[in-house]
Amino acid sequence: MEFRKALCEEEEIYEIAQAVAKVLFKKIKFQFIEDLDDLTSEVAVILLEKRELFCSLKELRFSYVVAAVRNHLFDKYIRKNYLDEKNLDEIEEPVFANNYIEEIATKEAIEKLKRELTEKEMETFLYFLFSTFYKKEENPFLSNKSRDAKYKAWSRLKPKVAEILKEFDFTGEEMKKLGEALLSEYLPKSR
Amino acid sequence: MEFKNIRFKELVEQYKQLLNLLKEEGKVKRSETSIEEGAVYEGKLGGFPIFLLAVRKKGELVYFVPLSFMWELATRVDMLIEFSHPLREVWIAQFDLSSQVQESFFKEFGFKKVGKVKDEDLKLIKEIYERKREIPKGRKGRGYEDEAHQEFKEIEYQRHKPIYNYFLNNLQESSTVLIPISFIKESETKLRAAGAIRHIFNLSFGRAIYLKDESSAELLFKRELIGKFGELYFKKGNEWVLIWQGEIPEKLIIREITPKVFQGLKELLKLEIE
Repeated sequence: MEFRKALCEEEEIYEIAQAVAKVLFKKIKFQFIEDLDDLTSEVAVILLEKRELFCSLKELRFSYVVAAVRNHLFDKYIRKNYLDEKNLDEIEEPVFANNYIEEIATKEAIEKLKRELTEKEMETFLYFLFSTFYKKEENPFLSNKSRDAKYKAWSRLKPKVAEILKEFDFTGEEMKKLGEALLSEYLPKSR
Repeated sequence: MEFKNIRFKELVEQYKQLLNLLKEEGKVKRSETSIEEGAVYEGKLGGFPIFLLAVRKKGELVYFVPLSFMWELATRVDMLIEFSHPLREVWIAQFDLSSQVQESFFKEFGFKKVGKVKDEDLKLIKEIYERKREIPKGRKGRGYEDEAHQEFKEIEYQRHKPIYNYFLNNLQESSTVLIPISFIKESETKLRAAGAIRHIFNLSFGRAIYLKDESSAELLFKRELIGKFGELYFKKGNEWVLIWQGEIPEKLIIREITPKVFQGLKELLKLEIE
């Protein structure tokens, strides 16, 4: 009752935001904002935006509001600070979520490849990616190997790469994005 | 401000924390809810919030899909949907946990209608539920078998388990029982590649038949076992997992089973009788 009163009847938004931000920071480990004061301000904005909705609930608990604020803040941050950079500001609701999941999956797949492929194997994979995307350009990877040796190296490696990437269910288009992201990390910046 | 990288594993940890925040002990009050297709019902099981989307109602039975607000953890069998709720605006419909339950469940456990999904989404969800179409590419998550998503799914399965048990315990005079969940995945069975497909074979406790069109396995029990209390276990990795228990019926159907898993059922199923 006290919490409802503080949130819905009295102007104690900032005090509540401080308490919510502390839980988000310590317990939930909300990653997007590292500074507690910044986080508190963002939480206050969400509380003001959603106050009417929260106060319409029959039962209102502090921990429920913390969970809801985390979710709304998460979505807001992805939309604003992340997807908007990619001109996706007018995207439909479920699609922005789908794009974000694809982004995490791509990052995780790249990390997994780095973890599980040896240096030589990574170079072989990069050789394959480069020759797929930039057919007409000179391939900077495996340059000291014969054409036959390069082909054999990739044939041997292919099942291992397929196994590593299996769990991510990438479509052809997503595989292309992953390949491009990986190449951009390894290709000389002057290219 | 820098946008931080998040891993699926960290999101699973956040989800556990969020569920703990939302947990609320207390007595469940009976409700007088009536079921409406396309409506979402909210209730509590074990103190944790549960959200069920009623997809279809046939007589006493309600076909439902559990929803979760944790869309970041959507797998390839989950569909992203818009659903306006104080906790979130985007949710996932978890088809692998879909099942059916008697309407009385909603009343007994005090579930209440908290909103509706869009009509066009309900139409889509019905078609996916009935296996007439796949989840559209831009509306589903990634992965399923990886460690993080498996942990998420295990949490979700455990949270919804009382519904499956309620359904099984309240079946009346039925000679067929459905095992209503589909966590049986090829990758968890340690099966070798399937050879020629056999659609029927004998088991130590009866016979297994593959129903290709329904992707289901029908288990017919030996006459002398019918009526006894039995427990059916499935070998998931190196562990035996209880998938069904109760009075042995004439037949039992395991839904959503691939031909490869079916071929391995001889080694993967174990029936224990009390």
